[in-house]
Amino acid sequence: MAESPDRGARRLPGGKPKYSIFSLLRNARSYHQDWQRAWRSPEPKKSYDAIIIGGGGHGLATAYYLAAVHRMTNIAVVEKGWLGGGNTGRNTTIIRSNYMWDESAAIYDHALKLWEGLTQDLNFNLMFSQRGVLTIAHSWHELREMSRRVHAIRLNGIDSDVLNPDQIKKLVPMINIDPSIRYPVMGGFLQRRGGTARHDAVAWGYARAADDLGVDIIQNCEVTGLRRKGNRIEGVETTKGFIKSPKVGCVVAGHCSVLGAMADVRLPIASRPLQALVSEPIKPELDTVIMSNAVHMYISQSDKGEMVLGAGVDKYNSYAQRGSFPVPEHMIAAAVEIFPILSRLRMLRHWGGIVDTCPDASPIISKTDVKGLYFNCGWGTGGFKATPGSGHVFADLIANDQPNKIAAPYALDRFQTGLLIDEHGAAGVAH
Amino acid sequence: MLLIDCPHCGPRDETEFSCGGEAHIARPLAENSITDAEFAEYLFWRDNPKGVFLERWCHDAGCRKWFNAARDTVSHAFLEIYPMGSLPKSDAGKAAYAGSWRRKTASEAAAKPSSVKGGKA
Amino acid sequence: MVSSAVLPGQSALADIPAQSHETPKGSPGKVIIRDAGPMDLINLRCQRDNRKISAILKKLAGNGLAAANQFLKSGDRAIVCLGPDEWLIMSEAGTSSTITAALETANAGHIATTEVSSAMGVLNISGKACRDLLAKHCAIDLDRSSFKAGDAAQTIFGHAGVILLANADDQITLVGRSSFMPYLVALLVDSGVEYGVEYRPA
Repeated sequence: MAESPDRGARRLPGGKPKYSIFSLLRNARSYHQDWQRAWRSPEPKKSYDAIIIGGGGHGLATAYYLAAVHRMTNIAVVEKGWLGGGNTGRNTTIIRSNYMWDESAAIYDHALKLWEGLTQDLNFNLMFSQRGVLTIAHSWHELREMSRRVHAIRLNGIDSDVLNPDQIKKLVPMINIDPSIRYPVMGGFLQRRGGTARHDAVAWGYARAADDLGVDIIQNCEVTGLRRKGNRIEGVETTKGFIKSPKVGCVVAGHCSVLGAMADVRLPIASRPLQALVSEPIKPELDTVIMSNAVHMYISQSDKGEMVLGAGVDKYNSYAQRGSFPVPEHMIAAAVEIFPILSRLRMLRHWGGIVDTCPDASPIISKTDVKGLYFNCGWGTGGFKATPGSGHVFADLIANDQPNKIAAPYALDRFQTGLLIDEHGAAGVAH
Repeated sequence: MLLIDCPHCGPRDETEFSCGGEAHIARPLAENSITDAEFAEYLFWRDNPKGVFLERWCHDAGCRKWFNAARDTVSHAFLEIYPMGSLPKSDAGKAAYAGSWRRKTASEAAAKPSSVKGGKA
Repeated sequence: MVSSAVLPGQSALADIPAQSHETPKGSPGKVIIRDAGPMDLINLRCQRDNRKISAILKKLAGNGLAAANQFLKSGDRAIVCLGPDEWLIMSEAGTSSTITAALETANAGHIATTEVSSAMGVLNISGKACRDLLAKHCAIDLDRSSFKAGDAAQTIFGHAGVILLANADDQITLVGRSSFMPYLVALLVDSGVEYGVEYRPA
């Protein structure tokens, strides 16, 4: 059971056929009409060795690592909609591992280290850009808190640098460092290894690679029940019929409580709306990810030139994949104060997702009271950055029926023992 | 924007309110009669339905009073608003209350006054 | 508890200077924003059916406990309903100790009075465009037909919590926290420029 990324000694299999400049030229000759489909659309078999419920980034990553690392290829991913259509298709693409607690540092940096070779592993351009993630401090309190945080991060061997306002201005020319604004920029901490990636690409990359290894990805197939025999999982009831399996991993983000209820598994989760928006595209203005707790927003610029903005969750439970207007309005007001040039931008698209928030703002990666039933949820607003790491350790848990060192602290029983991993401070806004 | 009908002040924008999460979570009185796992039911486990949800709201920017509501978490429609300290009267609200797993928990049973020695039934 | 001597009134708006913007052509009329000057304010908690309290208030303030979302005015005194069991008693500066003493010593059962005079400032806003001005930063329906004379509302104006009292079609009183007064006056004046606006200190 691998605790560190299983790479180097043995390169993990990527998607086939191999994408390369040669395949691009070859296919140009037939007007790009002969590309092989990246994954099949099979009908479900009667049974599998494992079923992953949830075809988002985490679920597809789990299936890939089950196949690639644990040689479990007779498995299926069951997705009620289209793969990557949930939160994987809706996030603001931020990747970082600068968390304070040891347990968090372990899992998020595990993910970041996997990100750092993932495009090569999967032979799929994830547009992973380590452009740096800067979190701004706006008060003396935040400066002190930040310095404690930076020490904790560095003690875990993760990169984190403190910057003063002038250094920030050099890094981010469009920022307003006027000391007289309501929330002045007093300093910040930067993780240079952090950045962004193309969110759809990671779902597609994992799907293609997993499919090549024999994993069945079954879309438009909704799970309607979890069948138990006594205290053991028997399989899943779906809109395409019953599928038998001794191992079922649920990784469905905002719908985890809905699934849990099907097996009487109770969770401490509240599903909330999380909104995001993108502006019209403009020329390159910002090549770092900026986050701010006090003024409640995070921003980056996509390769298309759009400003990608997000903030905190709406305050009520929802499965609607939309929130209320005051949240983005409040967030943009904050963003405009720190980046005055944003005031002229038109917002182009606005959407919402359903995030599964946990009382300690840390995920749940756990066995349950039902043998063979595993849950990976509670990532709340910070799941995208953990995609490879989450899939990797969840696959480990499912294959071995035991969590590894990284996943173990995230078991469901921490809510009984009190060993919570409180990461609300990780980004006072959202993850 | 949710429009919420405060029992005192009338319909107001959601920006005037804060949401208190799941309603009707009774604190176990006889804490030592239940296990840590059962206490976690009260402290951490939450109803999170895709459908009718019974929750608490406070009109922070107005009268500052708390009230309960039955709201659909898919359509966001408020089905019923009822006083703090009472139970829903609408069919949807009653069904949501009766059907919640919390009614069957040890922590809720331990919240009844009769569960405490010498307590009134 | 009977409150001890209250500090002589200093308005929460004491340091805000007079401001004026001329009335542009076509404006329905200038909006005047006046500091109502130091007032005494008492927060009263009691049950709505408390007859003793009602009687004392009738004697001292001309009216009993106002109904939900209403206020009752008599001379310089007003009783504003803030909630099912909460009222704000407004009176001239220097009178709150008398009113509080009367309420607290009446043996009227479970009540609570809190002196909040220095916590709030009071602005009188008048002019044909005063409702339009307030509507720019306030989400409740301030139309003459919905927010009528005698109506009271606790709501948000911009980023500040306020109590709005409709005195007449063209007159609204705004009660806000002292620390928000500079912000409120600045926002009101800024919002009133298109009508012509004036801020007059007490």
